[in-house]
This record gives sequence, structure tokens and C-alpha cells, in this order.
Amino acid sequence: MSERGAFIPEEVLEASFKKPGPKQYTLWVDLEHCIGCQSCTMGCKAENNTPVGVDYNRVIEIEEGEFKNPKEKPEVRVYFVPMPCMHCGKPACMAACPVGAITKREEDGIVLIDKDKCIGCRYCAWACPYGHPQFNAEAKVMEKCTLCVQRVTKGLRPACVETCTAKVRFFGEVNDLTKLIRERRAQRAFVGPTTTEPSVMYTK
Amino acid sequence: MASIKPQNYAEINPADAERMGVKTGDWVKAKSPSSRHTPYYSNSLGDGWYKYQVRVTSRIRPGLFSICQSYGRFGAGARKWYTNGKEQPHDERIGAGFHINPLYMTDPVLKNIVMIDPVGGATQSFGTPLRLERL
Repeated sequence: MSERGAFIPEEVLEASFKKPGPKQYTLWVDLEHCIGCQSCTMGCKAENNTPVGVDYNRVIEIEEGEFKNPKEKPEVRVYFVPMPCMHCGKPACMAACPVGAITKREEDGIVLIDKDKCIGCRYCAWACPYGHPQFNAEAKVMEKCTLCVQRVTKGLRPACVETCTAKVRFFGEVNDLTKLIRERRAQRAFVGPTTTEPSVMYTK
Repeated sequence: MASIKPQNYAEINPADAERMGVKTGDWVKAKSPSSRHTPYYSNSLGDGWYKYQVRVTSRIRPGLFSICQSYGRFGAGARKWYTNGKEQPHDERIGAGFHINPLYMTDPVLKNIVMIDPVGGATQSFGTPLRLERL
């Protein structure tokens, strides 16, 4: 068991908000303590007002081990993996977009969809290795996690980080977070192929 | 909630699933000693059999059949309903999933009353013996 509440210090976060120039905001999800309560999904839905079927943050369940014989000790572990947008370094969705509606912002590394330019062709959903962009049938455009850009530009944490009940989601600049993970955890795991250079980090 | 967990599943252990030859997403039918055909449950097959969609998981013991409550509703705007002869709005997503109530075993002596936990006072479903068949 590792130490809980490894929040990035407030002053470090403040400094990263003040720091100008190119940087990459990201999330770190500590899967060891994630209980799968879905409050990140609900906080995200409330903040971004998404319709039913469009979730910027989905929680998938990965089951490890099998329990078949009741006489043996069960060795089953279930990981709840929240899957927000990875805000990749080389976004596959950006390369696939035929109208150039997807951009990666220089100043904070957030990948955004311009809903005025989007034609709703869903190429980005097919191109994304995580299947993240989702089609909003009401507005006829693609939607994806914005890392709560409306909050982050004001110097606040994203809604999913604020609502996390188990305090396993951490928000910050990627270098600060990496430093924190190295301090707290020796083991570190990336999810998925790194061809797109995903920025969101998971530890288990 | 309709977005996060659109429906519930009947959870069974991989050992049972292997024996029955089902995998996640397949359908099974279940019957308890006192279950009867109730037409307003959409998963009722008649003669006390109810169909459920299966999710195979190691999170429960072999020999158990577990279903999440609060799905498969027929009230609360899940079906068409009328007030003063006027149709009111309804959403079928409210009634997605399966209801577990018809499977509860009724009291063998009193009939038509569900078994009550003598200590807690709650309805109990844990002792209900079920017959389970592949659909």
C-alpha cells in the first residue's frame, strides 16, 4: 500500500498555471485506490452538460484472475480504469480529421474540437486508439474531453479531479506529475500503445 | 445513470458459465419455486421463467446468481401512461434492464408474501433456490 493523498502541492500547481509558454496539462489516475464510484463521470456530465450516451470520462473495468473453486482463496482483482481523453502528444484524431477541426493547443497541450468546423464524420472516433471521441446525435458534432478547458484557463482543477471521492485523480503539468509519481511510486505504467504519445498516466 | 450503466446484468461465475456453456452477453432463463407468469414484466417467458442477459464475472462465488436491483422498471415514466386521457412523456431508457422481484421466493405457508428476514425485517432473496437454463 502506498501513501494516499499525494496531491500536487498547491504552490507548484499555481506556478504551473502562471508559467507561460508551451506545456502539457494532464491527469494521473492512481488505479490502486480507484473504487469505480463513477463520480468523475457524473461531475464531468454536470460540468460539461453532456447528453445521455456522451461521456467525456468513461470508467472501464478490468478483471484480473479467476475464481472458480470456492475451496480456494479467491485471487481476483478488479481495476476501474477511468478513460478521459489522453491529450496525446501526437493525436491520431488530429491527423484523421478531414476538415482540421481538431487542434492541440500550444499553451497547455489540450486537444480540442472546434464544433463550428466539425462536420460529424466520426473519423476521429475510428482513428483514436482509445475510442474516445463520441458523436453527439443532438448537435450532430463530435465531442471529447476538453480537460475542462473553461476551468483550467481560470486556474482551477478539472471537475473530475474535484469530485473524485477516493482522491485518486491528480491534475497538473506533466513534468510536475512525473516527478511526483517518481517520488511516490517506483512502478509506473502507461496504458496502450505509445504511438500517439498519450499524456494521461496510470499507476497500479 | 442511463449513460453510465444503461442496463443491469445477471452475474454468474465462470465455473457456472462453463457448465452451462454461456458467455457474457448470452441469455439465460431462471425460475424460482414460486415464480409465476406476470405479463407486465417484459422479460417474462411464461410458466414462471424469466430471461436475463448474463455477465460472467469472478467477483461472485460459484453457484450464485446475482442481479443488480432498480432496473427494468415499468412505472416512473418507463412506459406509456396517461393522465386525464392525455399521453404523458415517457422514456424507455428508464425501464431498461431486468427486474428481479418476480424471482423472489414467496413464503410457502402464507403464499403471495415474500420471505422476510426475521432479524433485519427486510425482504430476503439470498435463500431462493433458482433453476437456471440456457436460452
